[in-house]
This record gives sequence, C-alpha cells and structure tokens, in this order.
Amino acid sequence: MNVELTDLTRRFGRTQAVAGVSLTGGPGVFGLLGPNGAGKTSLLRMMATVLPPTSGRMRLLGRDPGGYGPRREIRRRLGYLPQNLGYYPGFTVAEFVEYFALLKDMPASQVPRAVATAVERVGLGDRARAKLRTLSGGMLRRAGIAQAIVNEPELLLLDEPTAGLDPEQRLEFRALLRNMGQRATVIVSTHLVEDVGAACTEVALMDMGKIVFHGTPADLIARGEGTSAAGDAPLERGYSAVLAAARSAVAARA
Amino acid sequence: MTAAATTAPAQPRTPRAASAVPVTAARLLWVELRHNAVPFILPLIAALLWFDSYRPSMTQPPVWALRTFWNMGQGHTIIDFGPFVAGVAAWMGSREGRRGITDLITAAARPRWITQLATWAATAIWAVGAYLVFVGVMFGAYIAQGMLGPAPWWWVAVGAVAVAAFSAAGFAVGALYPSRFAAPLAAIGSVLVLMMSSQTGFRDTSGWALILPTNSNGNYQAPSGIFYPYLPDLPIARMMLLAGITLAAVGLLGLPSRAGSRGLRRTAAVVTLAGVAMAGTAIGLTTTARLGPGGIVIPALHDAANDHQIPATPVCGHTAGIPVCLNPVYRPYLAEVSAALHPVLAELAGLPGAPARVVQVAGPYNSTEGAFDAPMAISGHPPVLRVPLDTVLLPGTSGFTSAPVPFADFAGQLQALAVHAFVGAGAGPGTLAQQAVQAALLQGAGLPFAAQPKVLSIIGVAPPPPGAPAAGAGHEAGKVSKPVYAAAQRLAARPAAARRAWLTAHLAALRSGQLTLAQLP
Amino acid sequence: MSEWAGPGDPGREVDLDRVWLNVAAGVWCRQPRGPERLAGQVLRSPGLARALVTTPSLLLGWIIATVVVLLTGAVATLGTGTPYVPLLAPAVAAAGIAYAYGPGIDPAWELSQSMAVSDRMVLLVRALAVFALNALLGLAASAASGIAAALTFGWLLPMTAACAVALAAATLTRSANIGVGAGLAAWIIVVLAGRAATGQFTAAITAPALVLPYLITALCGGAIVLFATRIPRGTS
Repeated sequence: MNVELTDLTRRFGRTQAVAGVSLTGGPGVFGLLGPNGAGKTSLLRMMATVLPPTSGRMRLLGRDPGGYGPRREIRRRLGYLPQNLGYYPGFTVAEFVEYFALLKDMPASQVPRAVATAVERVGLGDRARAKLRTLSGGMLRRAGIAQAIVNEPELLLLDEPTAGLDPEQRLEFRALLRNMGQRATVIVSTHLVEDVGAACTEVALMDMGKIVFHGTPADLIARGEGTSAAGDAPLERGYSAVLAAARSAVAARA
Repeated sequence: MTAAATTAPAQPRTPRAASAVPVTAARLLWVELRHNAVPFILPLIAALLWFDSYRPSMTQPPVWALRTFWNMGQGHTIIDFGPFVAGVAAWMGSREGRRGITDLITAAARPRWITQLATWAATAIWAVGAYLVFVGVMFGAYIAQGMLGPAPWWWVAVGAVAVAAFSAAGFAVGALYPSRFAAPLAAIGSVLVLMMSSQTGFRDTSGWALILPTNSNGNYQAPSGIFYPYLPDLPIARMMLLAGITLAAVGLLGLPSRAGSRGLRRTAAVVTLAGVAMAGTAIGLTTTARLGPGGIVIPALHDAANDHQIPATPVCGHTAGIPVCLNPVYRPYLAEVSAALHPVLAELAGLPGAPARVVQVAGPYNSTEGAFDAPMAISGHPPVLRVPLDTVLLPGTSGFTSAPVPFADFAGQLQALAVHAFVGAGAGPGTLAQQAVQAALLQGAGLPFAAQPKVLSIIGVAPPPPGAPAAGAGHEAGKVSKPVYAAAQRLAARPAAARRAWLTAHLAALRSGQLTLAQLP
Repeated sequence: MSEWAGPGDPGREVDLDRVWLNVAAGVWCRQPRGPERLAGQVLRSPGLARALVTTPSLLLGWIIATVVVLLTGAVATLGTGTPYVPLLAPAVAAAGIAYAYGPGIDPAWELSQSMAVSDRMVLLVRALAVFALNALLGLAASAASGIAAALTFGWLLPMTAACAVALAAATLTRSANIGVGAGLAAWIIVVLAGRAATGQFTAAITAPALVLPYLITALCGGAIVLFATRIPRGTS
C-alpha cells in the first residue's frame, strides 16, 4: 500500500478541515470529489507532507513522514501539484521543471532527460524555452503537472489539475493519468465529475471533512439511480444523491 | 452579426445623481481605510517613539521649548515615523502590480488615478492620524507633569506634513515600481534621506539646508515661546517644501496613459508642476533666511510683530536684600535661583558695580545645539545683573545625562556666571588677574577652588589648557593655572575687610584689563 | 509525435522518441553558470545551489539597489564626514536577509515545502550567502569612503545582530516585510539611543558595551529561526 491513513484530522483554530479520514490505496488512479470547503485540499496537503496532521496516523510509501529521514525519502518519490500554483515568471518552462527536479534530489545526470520527458509528456515541447510569464493559464497548469511528474513519482497528488485546460487537453491529461496509474498511486482532487469517471478506478467523496462515499465510479452512479437527485449525468446524480444523504444524516443527528 | 433597425427613438440617459459621486468616493475611501496596512506598523512606531522621542525628552526640565527640542525641534518624531510610513505606503502603492489587478483597475469605470488617490489618502489618513494621536498622547503626558510655557504647535504641524510627504513619496515608489522589493527600498531610502537631513548644514545659520525637515538648526531654542514667539517662518517654509513633495508625488501617478482620460492627466501634470513649484519656492525663500533675535527669519514670510518680546509681568523674590525677578514661566525656579545667587550677592554687596537687582533675560538665540556660551552681564545705573536662565542646566532633570542635575551644580553655574560678569571678563576666560579675582570671590561665595574648573568648563569660560593657543583677541592667554590659583588663594586668605578694600580700589582697573597678576596682593 | 504520451506506449517509434528526448535534454536545460556550479560543489547539492541563485535578495535588481544605497552612503561620507556606510549597511543587510526566504516573497512556497531538499537548509544557505555578500559590499563601500578601520569593520557585529532580528521576525511571522520592519526598527533604536547617550551616531558601532548584547541578540535570533523552521513531527 502506498497510502495508509487512519483517523486523520486537521484543525485550523476552531475549524476542523479534516475530521477523521481513513483511507488506503495502492497503485491506481484515485479520485477525490467534494464541494468547496470539504477538506480535499487540506487532505492533499497533509499527504504532500506540507501540513502536519493534528491527530491520526499516516504512512506514505511504507514510511512514517513524522521523521526527518523518512519524510525526505517520501518527498524524493512524491509529485505534488498544489491548487494555487506559484511560479517564477522569469523562468522558462524547462528551467521551472528542472528547478524542482533538483529540489527533489534527483541525480544531476538524470535531470536533463527527465525534464525533457516531462515537458514532452504534457505537450509543452514547443514552449519549453518560453518564459512562464508568457504562458496562458492552461499552459502554466501543464508546466505545474510537468514538475510533478518529472521524477516519475510513486505517489502523485494533483489538486485541480484540469483547471484552465481545454477539452482536448483534458482528454490527453486523462490518458496521462491512466498511464501514470499503472505504476504509481495517483490521487486527483477535482470538482469535475466527468474527469473522475473517465480516469479513476476508485472514488472518494468528501463533505465537511469526512469521507461520505468510497467506491468505484459505477458504485457512485448506482447511488444516484432511482433518486430525484440533481445532475445532468449519472455520475453527477450519484454525487448529488450521496451528498444529500450525508447532509440529511448530519441534520438528523443534530 | 447584422445591424439592428434604428427605428426606435433614443432612450434619454438617466443623469447620474450628484450625490452619488461623493457617497461613492466616501465608500471607496472607507473600504481603503479598513484594508490599509498602516495599522500593522503602528505598534512598532509607538515603541520607537517611546524609546527615541519620549524617553530622552524626559531628561529635560518641564519647559516646552526644552522638553520638545529633541523630538519636535530636531525632528525625531519624523525619524520615528518616516521610514516605516514610506515602506508601508510603498507596499500599498505596489498592491495592484503585486496582485496582478492592474488590468482590472484600469478597465473599471473609475479612473485609475482616482483609485490610487483613494488608496494613498487612506494611507496618509492613517499615518498622519497616528502621528497626531501619538504626539497628542506624548504632550498629554507632559501636561500631566506640569509644563511651563506654550507648546510648539508649528512644529507639530511640520511633523504632520512630513509624515504625509513620506507616505506620498513611498506610495509613488511602490506604484511606479510595483515589486515586492519596493517597500524595503522605500524604507531604507528614507533612513538615508533622514540621516543626511539631520547632518547637513548642522551649524549653518543661513542657506538652503535650513529647509531640511530634521535639520536641528534654528528651529527653536529655550527663549522660544517664553521671551519671543515661536517664529513660524521656517515651519511655513518646511511645510511648503513637504507639501510640494506630496503634491508632486501624487501628481506623478496621474501622468501615465493608463491613469485616466487626457483631461485628468493634464490635471495631474498641473498638480505635479504645482508641487515642484511650491517646493522650489520654499527652497528659494530659505536661501534668504537670516538669524534674528527670536530665531530664523525669512523676510518674505516674516511678521514684524513676532520681533517683539512677549510681554510678561515678572515674578520677584528677594535674596541678600536684592530683588530677583524671573519670567513668570520660570516661577517654579524662583526659590532655587534666589538661593543659588544668595552667597555671591552677599559676597559682592557693597562693592563698586555690585548688582542692585537681578533680572532674567532671554539668552541670545544660537543655532548651535547645546551652546552654553551666553554669559551674564551687569549693566545700567543702578547695576542690574541680567541672567539668561535658559542657557544653564536647570536643577532636576536636564541634558542627556542619566542623573538629574543637583542643586549644587546649578548653583555653581549661576555663581560662576555672576562673578564672571562682575569681574568684567566678557565672553572668554578673561585676563589672568580677572581669573584670579574670580576664583577668590567664588571661594568666598562657597564654591571651592577644586570644584571651579568643572563649573567654568560647563559654562564655557574655562581657560585654555597649558600650551594651547590664545583664548581670543584682547585676552591674555592662560598658560598655567597654578599662578592664577596661587594668586587667588593669597587674595582669598586676606581678611575680608582688607580684601574688600583692595577690590574697591582696584575693580575699575581689573574690569578694564589693566591689572596684571603680579599686582594682586 | 502525439502529446501526452508516455515513452513506453505501444505502437510508437521508440528510437525516434529516445533520440528526440536526448536532443531536447541537451537543448532545453540551462547550463549552470560559474557561481551556481561553485555553489553546487561546495554544498554538494545541485538543488541547494539552484535554490541559492534564485534567492530574491541575490537577484541582480536587489544587488544593484544595495550597491546604489551603499555608494550613495559612501559619497555622502566623503562629502560630509559622517560615516553613513557603517550606519546603513546593517539596515540594508537586515532587509536582504528578511527577503531571502519565506512565503511572502517566494511564489512557489507551497511547492517548495514538499521538496526533498529541506527548507531549513535552503534558509541557512540563502541567509549566509546574503550576509556574506552584504558584508563584502559594505566593507568595499567603507574602504572607499575612507573612514577609520575601527568603523570599517566595527559594524559587522551589529549587522549580524540586526540580521538575526530580521530573520527571526520574518520566519516567525512568515512575512518578509515584518522581518524588514523589525530589523530596521531595532537598528534605528540602537543608533538613536547611542546618539542620545553620547552625541555620536557611531556609538552604536564603536561602543564596547554593546558587544555582548549584540552577540546575545544574534544567538537568540538564531535560536528563534531554528525553532520557527522546525518541522513538526508527525503524530504516528
């Protein structure tokens, strides 16, 4: 198992962003759905070892990120695309990807080829020497994806990776996800239900810090059948039905 | 897209309500005030103000002109505020560029320059408001301790305009150079400007350097507000300069093409030019400045009524049978002055030229910081001892020493100055014979020989050390002090009657400088 | 060649891909310049070396601004006799140190936090480099302004203390501007207090009584930085 989370919580002051999440996962593509403020980004940041959990247990790639040495090992094998990607406007695409390849402690001799591979894989080969400030939003996102995959990570965390991508690019991105998922654990946090349906083998739905659904996309579709849940597509109806059920359960308890 | 039919009549445009404009502007300003960064820096400024402006001022006597000399007169409140206000203002000015919302602002209906002015206005309101509040609290603390004389309100106004100028300059730096480095650049640049402002033209009594906001020259001295009014000439010139800088800085922001319409940019150009003209005029006026009895006079700005002393009814007491009269502001010191002068007046009583009355006068206005070269004088018929009390270290807290000035030190200064005037020594140490007689008289008044050199040094009439160049034209150089004090000891050792008889016979020659040391008994 | 494809995809001209990638690898990646190569050898980490050369306060614009400020101070010293360089150098260095690191000035801060190269190492390397550069520039400006040797070197310890205060405040509050403000305020207080006590602006640099307080301040600042940049242990 590449990911083992047990009762993971994260609190910001009085707000509990993640409220006792338990999850395990091996190689494959794992979708994380949920409305705004559900805790998806906080969960991903904890798995990226950027944010320490408030309580609970976490093992990533067979290691406990609590120790400096194991955490460093995890980060060498980790790829992360944050929701708000910051960049250095004066860097070129290749320089940007190379910079983070070096920070991931990749052997220097392997970096040039790895950078070229990553840049080509996201379709920015013809803009490799363009400054980041000259790129559109979608291209910047692809540059962010390139830095996340440059080290062929075993654990790839992507937060809203398709933001700004046009439909054709989203199709190509799904193919990349499936390809990566053959060897690594890929966790994709997104609002776009159709991305999850097309690329993911497992789906979790978060609401108010908790996981309210965990299964396959087909299971999610089944949850929406026979209900009057809102949605234009089966996955959307399943999504709405699960959320509605979770919220009414919370209301009933209250 | 096909052209639409134009048969429908044109709809009349609803005129924008006149009251909507100021309301919208007020709302915009309110939003900017609520989201301004200046409040975050105020605790730091408050700490600096306490440490640098308030604490050192508490070593001064409770006379407004003395206690505010460091923080208002030398501009230390401006130093405390300036760099941080400039830095924060640069941060606010660079906000659009750093956050990437320049396009949003430019595309809005309200011109970009107007939006920037709202942001700057909020910054300036916070900064100047904080300045007035902090200075107000400091002055309130002074008043609670019982202050003498009027406060230097002109200089408070200079500080407020200076803070506005720093906010404008910093804001312009940030707006024109919207980088994350704009804030530290503006702050450090302000530090450099203020340091140079403090050190340039430090001892000049004329010239353009007087306009620099933290130039301590010629601002005011101890007589200000008590004997002479605080002269507004230099404060007005400085405010003109600082207001000119403010106008030029905010006008610059309206010059780029994205700032607004052509008419608005013309207005901004006029504002910029007006600011430059105002600053230039202020500098030009300052080059005509000269030192007057009450301070720095700029002829074009001067009101002749300020040349007259402030009328005041003196408060009087008596000591050794002689009336002692002080300016009413110095009433709390009357008893101490009387007690300090009593021994020397008793020693001099009955001798030719001994004072029949003691009157406080204003010390000569001197631009040099900490000058104590204002001797007393005895003049008139009957002789009157004229005491410039504002040039001595008053008892209690005084100067920048950590220990309060004891009464004995204060008394020593007054006694030494009085005797120095009595023997006719003038501004310098006097002839050797005058020094010897002075020493003997002071010994008789209770100031021992051993304590005299330090006191004479404090009041600035100590003889030069052995081998040093001559003290000045008309005075014999004091080469070795031992013969002087040997003569003084001989004179002091004579019986009082004999000593007084000798003095009566020889005082005229002593005062005219004709007596030599060998002629002393 | 289609985009988004992995090198192992079936049906592809693998040899052409490999050739193209090798060419691209050679063409796209930048060759590190002298300072970065030297840093890489000294630090034994190309990642740290790259992080060092991307330090905001080691960028050309910042260095030029530093040189301009110190040069202005040197010229003013030559003209007036007041030693501006020793008075300015600690403030400039404190600002540079505060701007070496942190979420306020690093756009890719979030990403950097997930990297194998520890951010504490990045901070240490950057802070030392900025300090060293400012010390060199300040010494050059001091020498150029012809001031006494005691002043030329005397400000290094106050500069260390001011930098420690700035860096401690910046890392604790995660704001470079607060770091700059704290460093600047502390230095201004010391300079003005020295002037109030002795009448000399340079008392903050030359007073022997301040040596121990400066050392203590530097140590405390370092301790605060270490504490603020500690990585909280996990809960398992």
